[in-house]
Amino acid sequence: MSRVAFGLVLLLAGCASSMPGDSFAPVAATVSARTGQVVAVIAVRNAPAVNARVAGLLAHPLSVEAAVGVALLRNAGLQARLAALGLARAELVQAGLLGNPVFAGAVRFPDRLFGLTDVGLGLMQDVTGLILRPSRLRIAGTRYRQAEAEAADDAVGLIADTQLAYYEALAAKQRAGVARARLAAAQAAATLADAQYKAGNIDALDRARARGRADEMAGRLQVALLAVASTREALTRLMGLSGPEVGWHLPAALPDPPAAMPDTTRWERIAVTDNFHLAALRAAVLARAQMLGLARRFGWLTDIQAGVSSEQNPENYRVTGPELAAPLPLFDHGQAARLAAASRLAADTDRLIDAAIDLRSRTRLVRERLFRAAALAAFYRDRVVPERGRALALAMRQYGYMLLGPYDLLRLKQDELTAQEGLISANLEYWTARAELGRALGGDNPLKAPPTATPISHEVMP
Amino acid sequence: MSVNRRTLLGSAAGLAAGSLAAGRASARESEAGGSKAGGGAPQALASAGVITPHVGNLPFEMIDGVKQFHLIAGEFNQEFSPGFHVRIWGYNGSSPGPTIEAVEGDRVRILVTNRLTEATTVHWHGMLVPSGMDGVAGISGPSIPPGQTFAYEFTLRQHGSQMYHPHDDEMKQLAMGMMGMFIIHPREPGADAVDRDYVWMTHAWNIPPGTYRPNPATMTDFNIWTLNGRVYPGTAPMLAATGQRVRIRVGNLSMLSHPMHLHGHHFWISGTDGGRIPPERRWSAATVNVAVGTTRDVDFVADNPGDWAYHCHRSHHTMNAMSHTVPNLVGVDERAAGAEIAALVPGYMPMGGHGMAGMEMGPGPVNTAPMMAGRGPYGPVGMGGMFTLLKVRDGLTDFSRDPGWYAPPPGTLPRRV
Ligand SMILES: [Cu+2]
Repeated sequence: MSRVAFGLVLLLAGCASSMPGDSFAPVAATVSARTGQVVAVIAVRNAPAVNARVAGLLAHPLSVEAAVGVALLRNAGLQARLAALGLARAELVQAGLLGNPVFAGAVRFPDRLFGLTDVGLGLMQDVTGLILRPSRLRIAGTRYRQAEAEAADDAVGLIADTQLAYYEALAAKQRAGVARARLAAAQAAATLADAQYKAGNIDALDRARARGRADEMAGRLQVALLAVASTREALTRLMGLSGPEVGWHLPAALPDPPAAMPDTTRWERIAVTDNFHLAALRAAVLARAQMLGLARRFGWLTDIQAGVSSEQNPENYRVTGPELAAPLPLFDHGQAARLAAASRLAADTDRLIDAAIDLRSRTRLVRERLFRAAALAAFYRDRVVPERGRALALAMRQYGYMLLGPYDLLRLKQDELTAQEGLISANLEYWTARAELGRALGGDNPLKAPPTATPISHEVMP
Repeated sequence: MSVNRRTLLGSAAGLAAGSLAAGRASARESEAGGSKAGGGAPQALASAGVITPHVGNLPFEMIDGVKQFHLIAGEFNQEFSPGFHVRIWGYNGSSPGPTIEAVEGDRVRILVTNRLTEATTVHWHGMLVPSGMDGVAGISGPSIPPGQTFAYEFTLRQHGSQMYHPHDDEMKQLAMGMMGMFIIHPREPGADAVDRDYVWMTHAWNIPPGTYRPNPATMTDFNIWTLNGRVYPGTAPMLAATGQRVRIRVGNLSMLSHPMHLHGHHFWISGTDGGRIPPERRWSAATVNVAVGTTRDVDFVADNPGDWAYHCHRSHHTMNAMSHTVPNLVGVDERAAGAEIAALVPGYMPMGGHGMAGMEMGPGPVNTAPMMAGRGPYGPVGMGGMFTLLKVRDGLTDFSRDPGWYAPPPGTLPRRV
């Protein structure tokens, strides 16, 4: 066996070595920088440091940042997806490895007493892999970047999903509070109707009407409480919690949207640049293009082996020489593989275009939702809710002069609660849009920037 | 003017001494002008026979033997009770307009200036005038366009308590307050003369609480009931010394009749819009129903000292703004519901189950009068609307101010047993 051949094999083996545990570090750095949240592979799920961090995040009324922090530490689904990045890394390593050389040896014994034994030795190396290795390494690198982008998209997606679930849970809690107040108002009317009925001042129909309204509100409260339970469990699942850790609790209310919006003109461009789903599709298209190039140049090249062999022949001298085995591309010179590669490239290119159009549209929609929801929230907060409160205060003065009765006051109270529901819905719309903005922009949050010139109030409501 | 007044009063039988007459005249000025609010220029008193509380009487000039009066129709603010201001229409800054007072046989000329934004006329209600002077728009004669002054002129061929009001866009102009009294004394009052001669006009308005202008489209759901454009406790009391002869004249151009009831006295129904009733045909009563479009005079001797209610006897006409739709909470145990409502509506207090008069009204809406109001020496009065007092006092000489609450002699108050 030749020394030259052995040296080459060892050299290539050394180049391709890698440490799979570090695979996620660059992705984690990017996502962490954009979102301000620590994204990492959690090696030991219940390590004391992790447990302590989770306990710390859950100790207070849960903030949206704390919920996201817990999800990134505890969501096992994300951890599984991050582990898959190790597979992509393994494939990259595999692409750098040459096929092992094949040693062949044969000893053949003579069929007479003093005949000589024939000893043959051979070492064969796959040459195709060697020739294609640079191209395949390039393709595997592209695929790895795709896998990185997909992992980052998963992390950003988990952050957005957690934020959505958080806001839904908080809104459900607030809505249940309003439903409870609605029931109390309807119940007070029913109690008064009961007393009027007992005194002989109203008939059974009027009492039944009041009782029916209270019962309806009691039913609505049950629906609202069901929504509290289901939104709460959805968030618990995303945070990956079980056991005693499920006892977290939420603050009182959704925060007000900020009073001004930053410049939004660049959002679409940021989305196209930074969105990880789009980045993954772009990498996929690049990989398809590289594969098509490979198929075009080397589609005919399959399974070439080269080596040396040596044989001690019967005349008792040794013959040694090179050896080559190659299929002749007479019939299959890779046409089918080229067609397949071209089709895959076309399909993935269209997928990329489709996703880009979708992303741009969603980004524009998110911008509209943020503007309109912030204006609507300001409208409810600054106009509708105070006006309803003022109406109730004015009605109280009419009640003071016996111009209105208790039922009128309770009806106005219901109006005030309807306005509060409107405020909750507008706030929820704003914050869910904001979570979607993070998903679209690959974790970027341009709203962190100081607001510029566009103040939000109901006066500018579009 | 003084000549006229002397003529008028000089023939009155049983007239008190001159000093009393002088005191009475000054008192009338005070009563007439004292509580007028928000109107036009103060009214100078003319012949001063009748007392029109809050409003006063219309002055006149004698021009070539004709008494010339001047009514100015327009819009203005009037304070119906303290803090309750209403933008209404009337004459010379008042609703009812100032009382026109004259004597049977007088030739009168009434200049009418229209400062409204629409045409108007004056109809001399119950008066025997030439057809052309009757003021029915389109029929009797021309209407007065905005900004113009027309003169009505005729000779008074009758006596009695008459009225004046528009007969052009009549429902609106009446609903907005355009009306007044026209008192014609008999040429020879004789034994019919009185010491205190009060004039009131009733009216019904729809002024939803918190608003400032009556709704003239209302036909039945009135909520404010006035005597001379005021509601109790904004109404002035009538005053009399024990033994004085008193007349109360009431005119009604609202859409409901008002049974006017006087406490502590019987009176003789002594006149209608058809004139003074001969003594032998008068009848005695404690209540006189003043039907829509009529006037009634009642005469009596104030011989029962005290503070006596005088009011319309439709009980909701002695209430201020009230609602027809509040739930009936009489006899209802509101404790449980009250606690539940108070948890939702801060400051809520149940109020329906207790007696209304005992209740102190809470803070109310702007610009209205509480349904029931007033405080007397023994507690809340719980009245409003068409309610005032006749105050009879022994030896009363100062009619320029309210003599205060009556002090019942020992043994004349209900006692706890
Ligand atoms: Cu009445």
